[in-house]
Amino acid sequence: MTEDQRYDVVVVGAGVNGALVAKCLTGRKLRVLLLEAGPAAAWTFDGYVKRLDDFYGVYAKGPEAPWPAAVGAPQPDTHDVRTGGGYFVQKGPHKYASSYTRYAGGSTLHWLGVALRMLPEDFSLHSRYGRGRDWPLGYADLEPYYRKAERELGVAADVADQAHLGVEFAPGYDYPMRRIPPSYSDQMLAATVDGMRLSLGSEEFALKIRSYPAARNGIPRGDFVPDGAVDERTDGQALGRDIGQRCQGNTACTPICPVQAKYNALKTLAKADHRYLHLVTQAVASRINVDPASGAVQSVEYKRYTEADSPRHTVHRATGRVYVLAAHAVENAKLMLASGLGNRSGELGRNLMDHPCLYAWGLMPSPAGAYRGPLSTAGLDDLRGGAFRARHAAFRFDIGNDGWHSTTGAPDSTVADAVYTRNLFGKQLRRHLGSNLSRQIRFSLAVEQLPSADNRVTVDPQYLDPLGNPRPVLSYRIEEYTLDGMAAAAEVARKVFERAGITDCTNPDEGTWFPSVEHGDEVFHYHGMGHFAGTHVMGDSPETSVTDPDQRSWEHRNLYVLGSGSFPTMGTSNPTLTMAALTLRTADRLVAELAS
Amino acid sequence: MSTGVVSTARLKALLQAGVELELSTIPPYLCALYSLRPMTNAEASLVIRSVVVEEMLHMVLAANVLNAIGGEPHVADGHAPRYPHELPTGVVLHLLPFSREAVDTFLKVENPAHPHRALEADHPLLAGRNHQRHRARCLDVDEGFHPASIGDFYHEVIRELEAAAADIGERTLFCGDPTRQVTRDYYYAAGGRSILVGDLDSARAALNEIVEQGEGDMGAMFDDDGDLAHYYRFQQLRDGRSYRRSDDAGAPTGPPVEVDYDAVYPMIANPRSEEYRVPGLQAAAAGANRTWSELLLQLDAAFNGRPAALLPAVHSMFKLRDQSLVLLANPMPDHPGRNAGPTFEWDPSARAELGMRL
Amino acid sequence: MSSERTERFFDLSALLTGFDRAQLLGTGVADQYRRTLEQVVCDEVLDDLLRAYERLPAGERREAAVRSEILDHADRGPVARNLIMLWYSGTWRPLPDDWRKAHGTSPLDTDRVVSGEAYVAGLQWVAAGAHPMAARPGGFGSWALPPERIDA
Repeated sequence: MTEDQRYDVVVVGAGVNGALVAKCLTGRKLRVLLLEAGPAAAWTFDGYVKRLDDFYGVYAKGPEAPWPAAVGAPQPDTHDVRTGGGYFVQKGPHKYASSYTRYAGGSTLHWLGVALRMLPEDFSLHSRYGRGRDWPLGYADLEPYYRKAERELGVAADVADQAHLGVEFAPGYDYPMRRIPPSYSDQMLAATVDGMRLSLGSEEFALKIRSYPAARNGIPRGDFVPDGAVDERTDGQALGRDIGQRCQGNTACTPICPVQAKYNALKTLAKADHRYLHLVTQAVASRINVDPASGAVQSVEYKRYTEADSPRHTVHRATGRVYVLAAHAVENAKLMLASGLGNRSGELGRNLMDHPCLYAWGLMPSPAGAYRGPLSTAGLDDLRGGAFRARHAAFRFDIGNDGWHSTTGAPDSTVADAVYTRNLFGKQLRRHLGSNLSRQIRFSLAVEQLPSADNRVTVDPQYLDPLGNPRPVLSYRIEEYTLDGMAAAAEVARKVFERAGITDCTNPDEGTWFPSVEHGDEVFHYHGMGHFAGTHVMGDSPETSVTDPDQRSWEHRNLYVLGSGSFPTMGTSNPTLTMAALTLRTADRLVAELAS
Repeated sequence: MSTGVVSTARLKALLQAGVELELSTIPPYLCALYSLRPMTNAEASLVIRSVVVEEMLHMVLAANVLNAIGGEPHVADGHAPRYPHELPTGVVLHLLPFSREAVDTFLKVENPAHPHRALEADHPLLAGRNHQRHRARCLDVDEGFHPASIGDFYHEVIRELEAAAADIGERTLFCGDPTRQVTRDYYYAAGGRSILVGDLDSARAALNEIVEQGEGDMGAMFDDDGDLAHYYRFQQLRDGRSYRRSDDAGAPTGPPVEVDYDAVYPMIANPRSEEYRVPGLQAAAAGANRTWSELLLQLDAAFNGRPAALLPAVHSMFKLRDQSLVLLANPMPDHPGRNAGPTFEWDPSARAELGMRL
Repeated sequence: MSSERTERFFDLSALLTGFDRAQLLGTGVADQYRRTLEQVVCDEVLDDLLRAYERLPAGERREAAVRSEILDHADRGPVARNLIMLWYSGTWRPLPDDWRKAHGTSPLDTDRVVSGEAYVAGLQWVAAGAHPMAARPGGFGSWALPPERIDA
């Protein structure tokens, strides 16, 4: 690699957006330099297995455990939320509880794999309900790209389950793979909960336990061939690609799928045309240099470190015709702010959103087969849309197959309770655990958050990381709209538990620690879903947004900014599929612009 | 060889023997695979796993051809393999832990020309026991038929198919119910896709796939996709060295391959559950045999009109792994230095138990 | 550990965990657990615990004796409970302060996973009728089937 090499496009970030745009562009013979701040996770399957083996020996198996940060590319860690240390500088008043991963592959290395489309109404929250913002495009504009994204990621679902709440599919379309089989506990729940009616205000809803579209390998439809594990060996010794053709039910999607049956962005990167792709890992973009007269980006400065445990680095400059930031909602905004880029609208870094999420947990009336299958296979989607959104946030439930693992640290915590507190032993202990563990169930209640000017990422020269790059400084508050949504969600969970005969055991005092927020008499203990959004919002005017609907910077016309940072609102769906669709749409624009 | 009246009886018997042949290779691979201590011998683990998946595909392909001509493939009851098991090539398959001897057997299965040393009766792995050999049924199909290799065996089947098609017509020959074919939905392996069989071309393709994947063109070390053939991957394990693309066969010069024959549970050869006297070990062996038998019954159902039964069969396969690991970690007090292992014995009571659940 | 001590170790473990010897050996990590115990607990306390096991009466009075002589005993109880936890979860937890004051503190007496292999071999997953998260899965579609009957 030399400084003189000319590229068509310089892309910052090799997560799902960077990987997708690199694949699209190199597929059209455009030369791409892809800079990734973190290390390469594992290009060979035996390298990946070593990470897995290390992970088995880790005591606190959180989402970041298999993916330790390099010194030069620090990342937020959920453990830091409690102590207040770590990469994020949190100004409050509430704690932003999510994290992300700076590695080739990004957060898709440990995501759950939920690939929901946004609802049509999510794109026009303001026109419909007088809340939040409208998107500058609609569901219909994105629909063809949702289909492309579903094929690229490899999504398993049945249109028959998903065509509700106004979501429409192209005639004759069905997902690339059949839906992942619902778990036995999903089936048990469906037997009592399906058809259950409840009201929010004056609106009535009927509930249904519903499979969610999953970027997880299942039985293919038509000519679709699932991608197995990434095993990029050129010595003819690769066997990993035969592995991961189907989900095996490892119950560890987060933090690491042992066989890569779940989509991760390395799969897309592996399919890019490597004759035109130059991937440089351990390369942290540190400054975007702009021509003050024209506003055009002239180069990206980056710092290259060679050892994961040392900040020693060299400084380089990358140039191209076009520049693409795909480094994550927070990192994109941070880099743009640190570089002093144009911010006419004042929105850069603002409107930081998450899906703050509550837990509810309990015991099913009879053995449900907990701790089997993917981490989850179904949810409750019926309250993602409705007129109530004029008053309070919408929400979505994820129904876990992993017992009380996330909520209390089970099964270890259940065993410890039985042994150290109840003093059980022998067959009695075994029976107690047998009947308890199998019945454990948890719901995750993910609540929508609206954009707010005060929720933001900024930079401050007094807070720097070991490479001298700024650390993200966050200001964050969960407002009434979302708090009222949390209250509604918690109440629905209680009703569903009652209907299903689940003994409610939700007790934050006995569970794992999570940050909390007060709402009237109630205290909500919430965690982050890893769903960052809003920090470089797209819109139809440079007065009110950072990028246009193609994710192109208004003020720097050869700069594109990809990812969920572009979202004006996030609805209640996990952002990955929507940002992938937006990226594919932007990629089409880029190819049209550059390939001519 | 055609006569005026063609009976497909011999053809069906040959194909049934083919199904049993492929099935019989699987337990020896599984014993070698499961005997690898956790987190060791990564290369051996990947290679053997890959071969198991391929052998299962071969079994499915043979079953598809048999179904296509109106036959009924069976793998349960008396069709279940017993060990030591003699193949048509003269190779005797023992249930062995991962070892130089096991690798040598695998080399021979992959390449009939490989010079193989049979296990001597006084070999330590056998621990002084002398078990009756069981012959592959294809050796009994007709007295005049002595295939020198598995490839020869399938070539004979192809010849017989072509002769029958010429005599009674392809349509008449391939009279089987297409819904009995196992499709890609239920059998998944990147190494090969399940081939639907419905005519002579597809039957030839299916059987040629078995021969090519198995023995292949011994002249080429790397296949069309650039992947090293299994035979040479086993050689890598034997020699502890990997092949570079430019190497000659038999002379690998690449980086060392990590193989640790000591990081293996020292399973006794051809274990028998009647030999297990430690409390709980008999029950553990019975559980494993129950699962093995359920697996065979589920395969049987899959091959006889219920391809979806391959889904619970996959689960049985994974369960068998766990039950095998419990056995493999248990020493046998009567045979110091040797451990127990899965015995792959048919359990007749499994059918009644499973009948309700299938 | 002498072979007699080993025998007592297994017998005690079987009694405390509710799993039989074949299942305990079947975890493949019995040696690791013995070593872990020996690293943290001195021989004197270990031998005392094993002798207490040997003295347990047979029959109806056995269960009560396990409680009074082992689990409720100041020196033996914490070690016995940690042993159960080892078999079930593959992890070690620090012994209580009282115990440490009386018997000393080993530098290995910390919260830890004994090894990746021990994590996978934990009996808690067997008791749950499931599998260790991230290992030994049940195969595609297995999660849709009713859970295994839990035999104890």
